[in-house]
Amino acid sequence: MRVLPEVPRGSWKGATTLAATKRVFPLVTLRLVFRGGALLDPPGKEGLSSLTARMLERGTKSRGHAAIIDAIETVGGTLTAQAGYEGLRLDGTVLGRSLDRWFAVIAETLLEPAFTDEEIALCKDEMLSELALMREEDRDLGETFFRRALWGDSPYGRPAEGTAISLPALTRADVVARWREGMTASRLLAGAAGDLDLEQLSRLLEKHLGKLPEGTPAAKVESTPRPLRGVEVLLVDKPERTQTQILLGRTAGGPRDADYLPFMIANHAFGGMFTSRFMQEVRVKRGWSYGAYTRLETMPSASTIAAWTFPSNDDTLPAIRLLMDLMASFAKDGISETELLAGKSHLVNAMAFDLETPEAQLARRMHEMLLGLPDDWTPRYLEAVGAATVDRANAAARSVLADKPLNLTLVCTADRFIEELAKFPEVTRIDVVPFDVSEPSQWTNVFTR
Amino acid sequence: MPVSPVLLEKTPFAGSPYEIQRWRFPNGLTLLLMEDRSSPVFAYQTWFDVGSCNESPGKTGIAHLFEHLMFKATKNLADGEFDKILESRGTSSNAATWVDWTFYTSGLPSDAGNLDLVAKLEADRMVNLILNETQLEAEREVVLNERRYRVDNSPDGLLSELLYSKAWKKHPYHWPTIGWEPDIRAITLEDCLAFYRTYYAPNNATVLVIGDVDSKEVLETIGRHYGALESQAIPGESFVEEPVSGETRAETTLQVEADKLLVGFRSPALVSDDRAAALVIEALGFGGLSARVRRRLVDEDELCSDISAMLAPFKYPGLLEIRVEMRDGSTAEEGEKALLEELERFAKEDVAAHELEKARNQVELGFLSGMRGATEKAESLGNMHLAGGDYRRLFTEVSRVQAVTAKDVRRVAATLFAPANRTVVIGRPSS
Repeated sequence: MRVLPEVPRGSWKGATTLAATKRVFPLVTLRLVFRGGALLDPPGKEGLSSLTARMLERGTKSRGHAAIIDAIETVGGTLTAQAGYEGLRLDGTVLGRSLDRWFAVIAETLLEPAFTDEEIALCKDEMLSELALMREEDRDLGETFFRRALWGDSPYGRPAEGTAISLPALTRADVVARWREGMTASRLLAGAAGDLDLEQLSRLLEKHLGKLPEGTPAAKVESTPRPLRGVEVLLVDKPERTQTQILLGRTAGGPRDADYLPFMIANHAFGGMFTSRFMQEVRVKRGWSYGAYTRLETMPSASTIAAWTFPSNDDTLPAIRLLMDLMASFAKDGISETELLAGKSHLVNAMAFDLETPEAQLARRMHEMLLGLPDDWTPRYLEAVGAATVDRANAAARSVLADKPLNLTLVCTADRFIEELAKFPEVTRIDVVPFDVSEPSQWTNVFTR
Repeated sequence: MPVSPVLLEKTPFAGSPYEIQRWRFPNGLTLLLMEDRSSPVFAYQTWFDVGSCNESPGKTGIAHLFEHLMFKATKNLADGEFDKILESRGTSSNAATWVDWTFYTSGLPSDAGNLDLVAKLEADRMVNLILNETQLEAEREVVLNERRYRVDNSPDGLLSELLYSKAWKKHPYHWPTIGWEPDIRAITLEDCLAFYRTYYAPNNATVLVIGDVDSKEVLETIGRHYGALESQAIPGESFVEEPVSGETRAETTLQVEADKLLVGFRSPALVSDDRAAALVIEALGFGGLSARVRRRLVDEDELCSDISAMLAPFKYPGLLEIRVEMRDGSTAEEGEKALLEELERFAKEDVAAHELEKARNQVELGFLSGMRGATEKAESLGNMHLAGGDYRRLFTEVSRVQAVTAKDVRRVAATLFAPANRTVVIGRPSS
């Protein structure tokens, strides 16, 4: 069995520190994550965490936006500040010789942000423009609406990047409050990779972030999936499409759920690889789509299973029929012994790539910690993969998928498909939403069974 | 019969403890080899000196379509077995085609037997591929669907295709690597077999093995699996460089909410002495949030939401592509005016010392960031070796950038941004 080396871990002022050290090139990557991300955005204030994170780069009490980014980049560094659902993140890489100067600027952005009204307005405009760019990409559109279709108005369903309605309403007071409660030592997970060890990381934090308040841990937020019945279809209507983005799936239990690991293995075997049945049926046998995968997205207390492909208009309806049949067969009959062995073998062997670079080692460990997984998760995971049996994997597939409702989200030119989709016996409901709505919950019901 | 490769040189790998060895086998196969035992993986890549540049009008897309077909059956392996075998070892094999090359890549754990296995499979498909109509038709549909995804349903893909089609009239860079749709539909099985017979041979290939391997074992393994393959006559490239013929412009409508502007300037080839200064110009103008062109158009004038640039790493003069995403309410014409004003400054004014330092640091950062994993190292080396003629240029690129002066920037900018050197394409909202 492959054994991942432990990434050395320490603590500083209540924060957790980690360092995956490798001193080949004079390069340091830092990742600062403050637990509690967009999940904490109140209803109607979607995008607040993203705006707060991005505002860090837009000026401090002593330097403006231009001076801050110039100082970061002049020394050979990068910085990206953003919010995911689970945390506010600052990521950057710097030439080793400039580490101290670079981190001094990052610390300044964290401790002394100016949050001027003018910069907040500019940042909101920038985020609104990015939403418009996102709408150009059918795959991104599909992901946003699929998430909404599965999670509704609960925190995972609301866009982390905000909406055209929520962003204009955010105020300076909102941002300041989010920064005060969110960017504190007790929520901080500070990781380093490359030419830096744990002791050097602690010294760096102490020197530059000594004034970071301790604060309080982030509150836990529950997210409840939307109830579904049968197969509910959401058509994201976009003109002149010659191809359809298809997402079919549902929510399931989180990593602590007894079925999680057996299902993860079953899903990987069924649709996670190029040689998996899903890809073979859609692409290799029929040539219907360049990509065809099933994936399991993991959150601390839930997961999402999704089948994804993108056939031409002419192949869309037969592809949907095939996807539904494949998922039904996966739920009912599961995978074969041969498929299980292939999946297990790939998962175990591919683990070597999580060892390859210090950045990969750090990313894996921090991901586990953000999901709240125990320290021995990786060995436990490898043990589960090694011990997996076809009976257990298929029992998990049945438990997660058999006779369970699904959502089918399509990005397409809707008129072409509504009538035919209504003839699918599994389909209970069809809603249509224009691709460019300002709020992703503005659906129109066009069919109910 | 054992084969004896010749060691052509050893080169230190960019300030690291490692070195690259270049070997040549009797049949013309080139091997680039680097031992790095610090992580339990290695990259195995095969680069062929053939890309969309080597296609003919009417047969565009064949290099890329053929790349897809290389994962099919061989005389020794049933259809699908190649992927099954390698995937079970932890890799997902992949491939890429661009204007100057095609490469096949596998990253593998350095477990016993994996090197021998991948070398055997790659050597086999270099000469033993079996193709039939069924495979071709299925893969043709996949490629057409890939084209719908990357081009027909992507505003950026459509605009990029338009830019290249206008920037040249005859040179093969003017057609897309994925090919024109009618050409993809018209490619025959015989075309594919002829393409294979013409370009897939050891003397047109470079194998890269980078990572947790033993050099002696690599040499013995490559010699054993590839030694008996015969070299063949590879046709030379028959096209000539096409001089710029004045500014070219085009416009189209797209499914977008605001104007899109894409400007291409004919740029130095990868081997050109002017490339280092062009890299500095790219970094000064667009390399980061504080870059001067970005700051003017995005932050100061608030004309656009994003701006980015890419300097083509091509064998022949390519394009410095500048992509401008206009904000709703701002026009492409306003963006172009501000962009050209900023670009003119490169030729008219000396760049400040601190800006030059920033650009140099950013280029160095980019270089080191691209050297983290074995696969990334192999890709950088492979591109420089095929398109740049010598992988060693990769290691001198940073020092050449460090040597660029303010005067160099003005001189190269004056040529690069000359109006006659420019192609402008604009995408307007369709409604």
